[in-house]
Order: sequence, then structure tokens, then C-alpha cells
Amino acid sequence: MFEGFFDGFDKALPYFVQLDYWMAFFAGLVMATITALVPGVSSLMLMALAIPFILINVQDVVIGIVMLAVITGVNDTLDSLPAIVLGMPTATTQVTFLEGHQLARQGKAAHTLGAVYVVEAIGGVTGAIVLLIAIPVMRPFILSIGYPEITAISFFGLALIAVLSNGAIQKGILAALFGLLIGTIGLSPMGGVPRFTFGELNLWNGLPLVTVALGLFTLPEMVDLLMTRQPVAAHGANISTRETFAGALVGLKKWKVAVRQGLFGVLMGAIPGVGGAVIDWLAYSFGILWTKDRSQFGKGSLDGLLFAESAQNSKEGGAAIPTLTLGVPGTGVWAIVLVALMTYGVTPGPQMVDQYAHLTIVMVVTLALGNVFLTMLGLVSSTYLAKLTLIPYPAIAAVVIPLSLVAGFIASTHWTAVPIAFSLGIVGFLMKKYQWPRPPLFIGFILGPIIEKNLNDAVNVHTFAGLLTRPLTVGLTLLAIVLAVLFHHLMSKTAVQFEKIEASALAEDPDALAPLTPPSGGAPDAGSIKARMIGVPHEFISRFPEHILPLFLAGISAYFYSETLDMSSRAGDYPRWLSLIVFIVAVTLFLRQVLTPKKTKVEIMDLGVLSEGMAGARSAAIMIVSLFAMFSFVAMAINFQVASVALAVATPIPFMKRRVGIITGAVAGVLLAAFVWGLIDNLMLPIWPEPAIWNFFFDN
Amino acid sequence: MSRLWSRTGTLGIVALALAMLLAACGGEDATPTPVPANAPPTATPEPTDFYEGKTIRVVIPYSAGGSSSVLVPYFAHQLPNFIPGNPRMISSHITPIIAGYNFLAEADNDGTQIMYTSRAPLPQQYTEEAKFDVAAFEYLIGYTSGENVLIINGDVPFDDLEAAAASGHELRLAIETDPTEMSGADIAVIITAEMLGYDLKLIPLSIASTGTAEMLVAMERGDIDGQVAGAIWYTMPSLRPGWTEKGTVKPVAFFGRPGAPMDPNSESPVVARNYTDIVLADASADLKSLYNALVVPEVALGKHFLAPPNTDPEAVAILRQAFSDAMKDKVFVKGLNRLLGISSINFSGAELQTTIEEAAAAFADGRETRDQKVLDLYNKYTK
Repeated sequence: MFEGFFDGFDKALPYFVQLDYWMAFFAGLVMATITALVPGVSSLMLMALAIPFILINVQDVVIGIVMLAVITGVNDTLDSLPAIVLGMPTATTQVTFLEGHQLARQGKAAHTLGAVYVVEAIGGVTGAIVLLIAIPVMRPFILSIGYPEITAISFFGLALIAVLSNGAIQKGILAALFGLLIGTIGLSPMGGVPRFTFGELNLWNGLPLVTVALGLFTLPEMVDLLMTRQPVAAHGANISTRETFAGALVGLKKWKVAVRQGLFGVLMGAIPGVGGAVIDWLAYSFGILWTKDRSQFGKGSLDGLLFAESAQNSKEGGAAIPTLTLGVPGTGVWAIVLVALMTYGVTPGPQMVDQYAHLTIVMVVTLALGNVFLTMLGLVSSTYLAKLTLIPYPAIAAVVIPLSLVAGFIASTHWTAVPIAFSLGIVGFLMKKYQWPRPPLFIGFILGPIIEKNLNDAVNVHTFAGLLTRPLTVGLTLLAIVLAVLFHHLMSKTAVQFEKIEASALAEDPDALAPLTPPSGGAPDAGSIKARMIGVPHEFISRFPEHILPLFLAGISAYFYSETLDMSSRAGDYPRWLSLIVFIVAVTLFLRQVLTPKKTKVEIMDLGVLSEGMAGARSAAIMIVSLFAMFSFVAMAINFQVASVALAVATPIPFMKRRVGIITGAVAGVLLAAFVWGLIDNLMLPIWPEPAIWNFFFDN
Repeated sequence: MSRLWSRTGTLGIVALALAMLLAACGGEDATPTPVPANAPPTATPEPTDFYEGKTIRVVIPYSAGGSSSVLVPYFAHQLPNFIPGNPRMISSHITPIIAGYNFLAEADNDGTQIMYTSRAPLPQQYTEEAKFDVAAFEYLIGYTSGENVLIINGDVPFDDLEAAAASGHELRLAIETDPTEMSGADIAVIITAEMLGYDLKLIPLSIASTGTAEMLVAMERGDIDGQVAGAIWYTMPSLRPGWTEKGTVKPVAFFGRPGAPMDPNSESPVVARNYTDIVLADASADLKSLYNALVVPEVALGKHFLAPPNTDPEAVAILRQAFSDAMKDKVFVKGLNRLLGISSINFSGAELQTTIEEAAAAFADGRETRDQKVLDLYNKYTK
């Protein structure tokens, strides 16, 4: 086998001096760039467009696969830019957003992007190299990972809640449970029974991931930034080419960390079914475990950001391992590469390092080169793109908010995307405001279906008793529990560090960390239940907005529970128990909030509300609600495209000086119109939602 | 506050004015006022210019990332060369399958909306959510057959289903987790188990609906003994080279058209008996009727394209002709076969239409009592 492998180098090297190779390579890079930067355009979509052309016109399998490999392998490199600079995270750039956007707010966007691109390249190259080494030896490992082991590995993800709920453990756990609960929306894995779908066929596949990320993270952040009327970056931001390259140097110096995280990303990526959208969180927590000073995580930590970015890029190398060894694609895009390979008559398996060693070598080098080239592109453009953080956010929001809504709609191809995004947007904003960590909710939402599906399959194949006899399953599950306890312990120590810092800050300046609201007259701060009850009515009323979330969760879980009563045991047991637990935890939290005095502001692993307390915040909120109402009305009365353009035009007007606002709105409107009618309609011809009001009056 | 209202008012007026302007200028083009579904077309243009400047949307009722994500783009790229007027073709995923069929049932019937599918959803059309009648669509082409082969691991101690009963070995196969989603192949296995009395254990697994690659891995891990799938035996040489030659897996049953023998694959001469003939000859009347209603139609229906009910006959004729011409074109067929991994067939739209109508009628006959029977059988073998 290894003889064939070394022969492969002789066959592979000539490709790198062929014009065809470089044309395919750069075509792939252009597509990867479009995928990363244009909302609504996915790798799958571009590959679907490219694949017939490649299969028909390109006879040489190596050249044909190069283009697909570039699109597949490097599309994560540039997608950190919108999350860091514009506050526009996607499902796979949550950590990037959590840490990177805060750095951008501190005026460090150029420095951050420089470091991120270098670390991504290191991660990508690590992934490519490991792929080459792993193909001959990983087959037994992948075969040893069955349904029980995937379930146990998913428990690791849940263990992260201990990290991500730091500072608000009960809220974090409740958020994660709620995530698990909304993850049950759709057809049940057992029995195929529609659960909580409100009669909408579109929800049979569950809540769309893109829409959930849009509602929970993107909309609240963009709205918050819009309400500030300020640029993302603070005054005195240091954005220059020198800063970008200083950041790149920092990234280079952290190469050991990047390689370690890259290896972790490859390992996770190699396990089909774990889900690309949680790898960044898994890697983030893995990195935290190796760090002594954890006080900066969640508040703009470059280290935290780099932990995730390296793994995010290397995971594609990992996802290629099951694709090339077993023919089981690690992700959807690798599924298309697999079909293309087989169409060319190339069979995944040991022959990838023997008969087709040259193809594997070219693919690996291409993945590495792709990462390096995009990093160079990123470094060259970072300084200019980072300057977007200096533009008043209303001008940015005029483009990115309607773009995000269009992208959210395209991803789900159904009108329900908009109300779902708006509803989750309200939940996300309330979570921000009242210091609920949102990442646990997102992780619960992603891991819930993976756990339910694999646990069902595991029990069906092995039975419950049989699962207990599998050493790997039992070992991984116990390890996840140990890790959860360890994480909680480590993060509690970090919380103690915070309190010490806060105490010393308070000693120096008593107003430095003021309570959220001034203490009310009658509320005692300690003592018996009876003593606490004295201040309850007044406290309850003054703090009512804070109670909305636990009450909402209690209400929605009660509704879910009532719905499960009509379901069969196979379909209904899991959501029934889950909704009961959510209800109990939500009510407990509500009572705890009512009965205990208000605490001073705590540090959590999420972003707070930037516009809180700013002058004009309330009127800004009213205007934003009006804008979204106008958008919804125009979408229903005329159509979705016109509504998105109208939103682009109208957004900056109330938030900027009148003339500037009108000009900005006009420019944003033209950009949106070009995007919707010029690009999206021509490229994809999406099935836009029917204008319900128009149809009601004019269509019979 | 008055400033706020002033700005909000300005905002509303500007937005609405712009919305009206855009609607008047071009918004209507992007979303034309919907044509009432199933309305007969008023004019019959010349075939040569019928599709000129038009875009044909191919609806895919499956999630992106599967084989349809490659097959349909291939058709979308190549088929316009066979359609006079050289229209543009694009694909859109609308899932789940019922939503895709509902969309097509209500779509414009001017020949610009068609659908690709790998299976006629006869059971699903009787669900509450379905707004379609499978037999009412216009069928354009069938390009694969729906024959199935049951393959098992080589170390399982029998070579056909008659010997399975004598071996005493429990045959473990994966099955859909939703009984109403069972394919004809699943039902064929159950019927042979009922008839021949071998020890069958069906394991509901979520991968049963996702593809053969995962099932092969499940076979390698020992989770299941085998799988029953369409082209599996013929694609094995490319999925796992050498396996069929060495006997790592073997075919034990073929569920094909009556009287049609199973073909060997490119690396192994081993074939299995056609159990359709055995069931139709020897099974009880009850089982035979189940087989006729649920298995035989699926064997006849493989991957195909269809158009909305009452689609403009001109458009149907042009599209059927284009598909037929494409399936006669050696270069097109070579490319298609490469994608499929098996040889395609040219089952004309008109023939397919008749087959589907017969299948739908057979399926409707005695459906309610049969549904319960199928559910009982599912429960019996999954326990």
C-alpha cells in the first residue's frame, strides 16, 4: 500500500504546474469566497450548480475534484469576517461572534482578523495533513463509533453547558433544556409523528438551523447595535495594516495552540453525525480546559476565538476521513464530493492511499493551499474590511438586516422563517437583557435531535442492558459527567476571581459596578422566607420584565406537555419528560427570582445589551418594532423582495441625520434590489412567499 | 416624543412609497400574480418557441446533499439542449415529500414547474396533510426501474430465503422508524418471512431512509446482517470493490418484475432468485394481494419526472419528447449512468402514466384494511 502511496507523489507533483489545476483551484476559491461572504448562498447550492459542468467538461478526476475540494474545504475561512466585523453570526460562527465581535467593539478588528486568518490557515493545514496520515488507519476507529458512542460523544457537548453557563448556571441549564425541547419540533425519529408543528409541513424537518441562529443571535445583536446609533468600534480604534500583521504575528506565535485545537477539530469532524455547528463550541471548551487564566473568556478573548477558529477549519479535513475511507460523508458538502468521486469511478477506501494516492495527495495539498491563499486574501483585505467597524451601524444595518432576513428565508424556503426568526429574536434579546447565556440554548437545540435519534437507534440495536456492556459507551458517558463536574468546578473558581476583581474595583469606586436597578425600599436582602415575602409584591411588579422569560418557558413547556398527551409512547415520551423538567426548572427559577433580592450584575458567557441606559434607547426600540411591522406588512401586501428593499431604505432614516439617512437608505435600497433581483432571483429563483393580504383581496 | 412620531411617520411614508414604486416598476415580475391552479391554458404556442426565454423549475422533494443534489443538476444542465427554445432549468428543494407534492399539485400548469422523485408517494397521499392525487399528475419519463436486491454479510449461514428457515439464524435487517414510510422492498421481505417462516428481526433505524453507505457501515459493524435496496448489488463493485467477488456480501433475494431474472454485477456472477415469482405463485391469497398492491407497483416505478395535473398538453408533449430524445443520446446516457452507478432505462412518460394510474388504483383497493395488516406485520417483526 505504502509503495503506491509514494508513487502517488510522482503522479501528483506534475499537477501543480498545470494551468488546468490552477484554473480549477482559483475558480473554487472564488466560489468559496462568495459562499462565505454572501448571505443565503451556500456551498451546497454552488456545488450543485458547478457539478454538472465539472462532470461533463472535466475528464481528469484530479482536476474535477480540486474545485469541489476547495469549495468544501475552505468555505469556513472567510465566514468569520461578518461575525466579527458586522455582528452577523451564522450557525457555525457563534464563538467567533461571542469573542471576536467584542474585540471589534474594542477597536481591535484588524488585529483580531489578522490573528484569526493565520490560525485558520494553521488549522486548515493541520486538518489536511492529518487527513493524509489518517486515511489508512482511521477505518477501525470510525467503525468502532456506533450509535451508542455518538450519543455519548453528544453528552460531551451537553457537558459544555457547565462552562457556557458560568455565572448563571440555573438559567444556562434552563436555556439548554429549552433548546433540547425546541429540538423535538418536527417528525419524531421513532414513528415519524409530527410534533409541535402547528400543522405546518415545513416544520416537519424541525426548526431551520439558520433561522434559529438568525433569531437567537444575529437579529438581537444587529438591533442592539442599531439602537446605539454608533459604529461597532470604540473611539480610538486601531485599524491599520500594521495592526493586521501584528495580529497575524500573534496568530503565528500561537501555532502550538492552533495545532492542538486543529487536531481536536479533525477528531470531532471525523465522527459523522456530531454536527459541524457544535464543533466550534466543543473546541472552545476544550481550549478553556487547557487555560490557566479563564477570566477573559466570554468578554472578548482572542485565545477563546482562536481555539474555535483553528478547529473550525481543520474539521473539514476530519469530515473528509469517513468520506474517503468508508464512503460515509462527514457533511452534506462532502456527500457531493463523494458522488462526484464515484461518478469518476473512484471508490473510497484503502485505494485512496494506493491506486488513487495521487488524487488524495493533490486534494490534501489543495486543501492546504486553499487555506493559505484565502488567509493571504483575508490578510490583504482585513484592514479595509475592518474599517466597516468605523461606519455608524445604522448604515451597516440598512444592508445587513434585510440581507439576513432574505438569507433566513432562502435557507428555510418557507414564509414561517420570518415569524420564527422574529419570535426567537425577542427571546434572544430578552436573554441578552436579563443575562441568560444563549449558547446553551443553541447547543441544546443542535444536540437534542442527535441524541434522541442515536439513542433510539442504539437501544433498538443493542437494548438498554446491552448499552451498559459497551466499555467505550460507558467510558465516554462517565467521562462526560466527570468533565461537566470539572468544568463547573474550574469555572466556579473563575467566578471567584471575578468577584475579587469586582470587590477591589468597588473599593476604589463604589459606582463602578452599580446594581441594575436601585434597591427598592421594602425589599429585605436576607432572612427567613416570611421576611423575604414582605417585599415580594413590590419587587415582583418592579422586576416583572425579568420574570417574562421563566414564565414564558413555563407556559410553552406546559403547552408542549399538553400536546404530548395525544402522542404515542414512542414519539411522545422524550418531549413529555423534557417539557415537564423545563416546566419545573422554569417555575423554580421564577420563584427564586421573586423570593430573592436582586443581585448585582453578574458576568456571563454572552454579550449584554450595549444600548442599555443610552439616551433614546426606548424611542429607538419603538422605531425598530415599527420597521419590522412595516416589513411584515409590505411582505404580506406586496411581496418579500419589495419588503426587504423597503426595509433597507427605511432603516437608516430614523437613526441618522435626516439627509444622511435618506441618502444612506437610497444606497442600501439599490444594493438590496441588486442583491434580490440581480443575484438571488437569477441564481436561485427562490419560491418567494405569497403576499397573503394581496391574495385575500385580489385573488378570488 | 413628537420627534419620534415625526420620524416614524416619515419612515412609513418613504417605505410605502418606495414599496409601491418598486411594485409598479418590477416587483410583479419577480412574483407574478399566481395563475389559478389547474386552469386550462388559453393558447397553444409553436413548440419551437414554447420554452424560449422561459425557466423550468425542477422541484426536489428531498433534502439537499443526497444523490438528487447531483442527478437533478445534471438534468438541469443537459436537458435544455433537447428542448426547443433552450430554456433555463433550475432546481429547488421543497421538503418533506408531501410538501413537495403539495407544491406541485398547486403549481402553475404552464410547463415551467416539474418534479424529480425516486418514489411515488402512494401511502402518503392518504395522509391528512396531502393535497394531491398521485394519479392526477402528468408523468414525463421513468429512467430507472424499482427492482430490489436483498444482500447480506457473507458469513450469514444461508444463501437463499428457503434455506434461511432451516438455518435457524435470526436475520437482522434495518427498517424505517415510521411504518407508513416502509418501502415496497421492506414489505417484500416481510411477506417472504410470513410465507417461508424464517426468523426475521427488523430493527427500526433512522439510517434506513438515508442511504446505502451508512447501511453498509452498519453491516460492517455487525449492527445488521444485510439490507434490501434498489441498485445496491450493482453498485457494490464501486462502493466496496472486491466484496462481492470475495463473497464478503452475497445476494439472497431479488424482488424484480415477474419473470425477470436478476443480472450479475460487474465482479460476481452470483445472482439470487426472483422472489416476486415465488410469492405470486405460492403465497396465500392475503399475502399475494399485499404484494400486488404494495410491491409490484414500486418495482415498476423507479426514479422519474412529473408535471402538475392538467399541465398544458403542448408542454407535456415537448418535455416527454425532450426526455425521450435525451435518453436516446449516447453521451447523455453515459453521463447519467455514471451518476446512477447502474444502467438507466427509457420508460416513456405515456407508459409511466398508465403504470402509475394502475398502481394507484391497486393501492386504493382495500387500503384501509390493508393498512392495519401492514402495521400489524411491522409490529410483529420489530418486536
